[in-house]
Amino acid sequence: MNMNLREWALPVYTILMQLSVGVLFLLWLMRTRNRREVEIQILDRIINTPLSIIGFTVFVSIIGSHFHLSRPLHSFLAVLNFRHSWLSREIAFTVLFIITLYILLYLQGSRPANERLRSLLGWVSISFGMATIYCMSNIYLLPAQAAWDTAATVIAFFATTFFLGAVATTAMLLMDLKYCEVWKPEQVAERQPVVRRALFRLVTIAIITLVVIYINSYIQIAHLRGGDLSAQMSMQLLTQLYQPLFILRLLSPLVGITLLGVSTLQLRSPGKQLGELLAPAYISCILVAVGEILGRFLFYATHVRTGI
Amino acid sequence: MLIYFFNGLSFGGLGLAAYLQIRQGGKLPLSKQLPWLAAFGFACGATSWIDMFLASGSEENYLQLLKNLRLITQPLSGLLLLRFGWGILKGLTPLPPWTIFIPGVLIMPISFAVAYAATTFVTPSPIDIPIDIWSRYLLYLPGSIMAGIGFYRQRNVQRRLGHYDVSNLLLGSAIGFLFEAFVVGLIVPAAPHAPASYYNYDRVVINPFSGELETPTDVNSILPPWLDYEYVLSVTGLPIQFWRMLSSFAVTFFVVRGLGVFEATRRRELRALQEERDRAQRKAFEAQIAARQEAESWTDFLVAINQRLTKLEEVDQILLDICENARQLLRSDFAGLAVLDRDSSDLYLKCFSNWTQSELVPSPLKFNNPLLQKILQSRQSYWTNEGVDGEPLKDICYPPGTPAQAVAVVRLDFDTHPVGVLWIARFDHRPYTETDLVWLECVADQVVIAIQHGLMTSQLQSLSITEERTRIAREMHDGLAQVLGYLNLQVQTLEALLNQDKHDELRSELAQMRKAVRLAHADIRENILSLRTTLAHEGGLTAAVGEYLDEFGIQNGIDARFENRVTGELDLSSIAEVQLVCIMQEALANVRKHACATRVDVLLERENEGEQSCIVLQVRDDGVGFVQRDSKRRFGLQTMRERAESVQGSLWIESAPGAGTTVICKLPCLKAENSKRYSRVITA
Repeated sequence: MNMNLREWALPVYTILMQLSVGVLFLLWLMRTRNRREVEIQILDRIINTPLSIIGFTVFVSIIGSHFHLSRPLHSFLAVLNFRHSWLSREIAFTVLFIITLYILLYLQGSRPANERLRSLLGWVSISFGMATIYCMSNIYLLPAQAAWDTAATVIAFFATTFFLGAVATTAMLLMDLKYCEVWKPEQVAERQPVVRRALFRLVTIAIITLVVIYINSYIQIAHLRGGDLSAQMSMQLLTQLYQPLFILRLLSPLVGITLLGVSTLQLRSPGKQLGELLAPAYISCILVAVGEILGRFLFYATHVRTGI
Repeated sequence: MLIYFFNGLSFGGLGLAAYLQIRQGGKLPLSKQLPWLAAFGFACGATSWIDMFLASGSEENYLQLLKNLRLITQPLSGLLLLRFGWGILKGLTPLPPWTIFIPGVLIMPISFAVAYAATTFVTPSPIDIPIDIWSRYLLYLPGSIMAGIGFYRQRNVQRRLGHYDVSNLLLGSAIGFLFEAFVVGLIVPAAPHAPASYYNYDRVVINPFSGELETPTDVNSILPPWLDYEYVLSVTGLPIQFWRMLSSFAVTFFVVRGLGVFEATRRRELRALQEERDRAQRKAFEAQIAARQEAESWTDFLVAINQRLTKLEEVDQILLDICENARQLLRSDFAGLAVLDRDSSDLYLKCFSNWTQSELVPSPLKFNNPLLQKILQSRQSYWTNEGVDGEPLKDICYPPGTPAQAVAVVRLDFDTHPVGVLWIARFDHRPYTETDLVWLECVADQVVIAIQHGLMTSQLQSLSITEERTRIAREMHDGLAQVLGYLNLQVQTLEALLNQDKHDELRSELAQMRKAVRLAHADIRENILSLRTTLAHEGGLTAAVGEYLDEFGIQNGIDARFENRVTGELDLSSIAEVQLVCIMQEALANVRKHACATRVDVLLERENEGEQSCIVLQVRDDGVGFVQRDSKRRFGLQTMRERAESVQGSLWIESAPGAGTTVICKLPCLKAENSKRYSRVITA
């Protein structure tokens, strides 16, 4: 496998796109679930900064994806094969996702805006994002590639989306709360209960998704063991050359989620403040992201003769 | 080897200096970060010395142990540097608000870098190479940059505080760390993976994963090979280890020196602060003393005024003294007192005080200053430190002359009716304060009390005169009129006896008439003497008593002697003095009328009973005496007792038939401190 850095543009794009879709989904879910109990203006104030970060992340991921292309300026031509190619569909849905996301960001920042329109637009954007992830995963469902051609690939892509999304949303909410504590203390009181409630749910989602990832990995390995020659070769790469990375890929998110879970549980003890959770959330996010990036690296690396 | 040795020595010294600083427990702003610096110094020094032993070619057994140890110490020192850098960057001064988002933004780049770094460990190169490279890229480089920026920010802070010596050393530390970031964090050993392979591609021609030959030009043609060890050697003529040693020297020198100078500066500042605090305490103490002295002066002044009022001194003189004292105590150049005339239309200057004179105005002087009239009509006290409408007040002082810059005026209210104004003025720009106004209001109250007192005194004097006239009329009716009536009857009797030629009876009646006339004459002379004896005598009460006794002796043929054992003032209130004289006169009248005495002794002495002192008057005669149970309601004794008790005194009589009589009267003096204060103020 070539270690040319250009190949890393692909995981940069896929991982960042999955993270963005996952965060947007979870934020919008939180906004929808809490709107009866909490004023919508407060909820918008809570999610606006994470939404802006998503906007920036999507922009970076698109720029990163162009480094992967031979002719970046002709990337828009890929849309022409929408009816036949998953890649074209992925690009088309990515574009739609980006457009709806930026309109949503604009509406979130402007007042007054139609609340129902915003709510609807959010779910539309999420739908395009999910479609993008689905198309992204389907690109790799090739009958000639035993390591990729299973439903586990699709599951793995969506699991990563929710997993990264849950952990990154936690970090973003805490980061914004910290900002408020220092620079907008008058908003802290209204935010804390919402963020605290969301934290427990996000950690729960992250734990469930991690279990799904482990089960999915087990299924993938079992599939490779029982597969054809190319599957055997992929298995050999995974268990020999890339074994340390594979172990790291499995352990890193486990450590990260354990750290985040324990820290979140400590919130129940008296005197523990939400702000104290920020550093564990950052470390956990890094560990989870490292695990997922390594997972994507292994995904490409175990595909014999192709990928990075 | 020598380079590694000195490098280790330098970082070890840095660690030791930081450790000693922690032990000293100084108050440095970066004291919280010092443990990380100390740990970094020791770990980095240990790594350098491990390098030294490795370079010396130790025994094979130790070689592997040292290599394994280095795999731990190098990333550990990098981690400690990273922690120190982060602490010094954010811990010393508040960062801008947007920096809160930096860690969040860096999460994904860091994750990608770490993940990518992890993938390089599966290349065929020895494990120590990726550890070395990624320790430098991921730990040393950001750690050194953060420490450099942190020291630079601290340098700016110290510069703003004027600590130029410290700020220069902190700048040196910042440059040292940034130089270290370059030579330690950015220049890495040759390795078969990016980014190291980008600038040492000419020495890496085999793909680390596939084992295939790599065409050097395909790898990269953008970055020149200038960041690898060999290129540094070829360009500078010195190995990278030398430059790293240089950077460690720079960091150690500036940080250690900076710590020392900073501590010295802090101590100097603390000393200066302490001295300043002492000075402030001294000033506060002096201010307290001054305030207490001023308060005492005010108390003395107010007590003295009350004393003088009690002593029924002349009101005008009291008002003048109030005016003068107000000017002195309020540090003013002028003080004036003006009162309204009877129809409350015009103000007349009563008295004034300035630096050269304090006088009562002899003839009525109309003083209708517009400002004073305005204050008179309003109920508010007033003060200005900028004149009126920005102009100094020209005609508010007397005699007119220097314009006043600052003025304070208080209205005098007598039962809510204005009776006049009291004001003070300064010719310079020293301002009056609200406290001054409060004091002036106190003085104004004293003025009103003095005026009230004067009015009451004059009323009392009128009453006393009426009472005295009634007494004289009664005396004349009881004494002289009776005698004259008796003499009228006797004259008719004499005429009848003369017509009847009864010469013997005539002579007898004449003898009786002569006796009656003599008694009447004695009474008249005594009354005249009593009326003549006043306390307004120049020599005071004792001199008046002495003179009265002399006259008494001559008039009545009794040996009257006076002994005064009291030194100095009697310290009696004016009312008590009057009562004392009346009691003595009554006692002497009894001696003349009833005692048949040849000698009378009058004694004045002071008697102390605890803190209270009294004046004791004794009137002792050698007359016939009397039985005391018969004395009740006789000889005016009850009147004398009532007089004594009216001024909280007491009176009793010692007498027996044939043993003479002694009248003893004890009257309390004024309180000692009041008396002293009064004397001091009068003296001042």
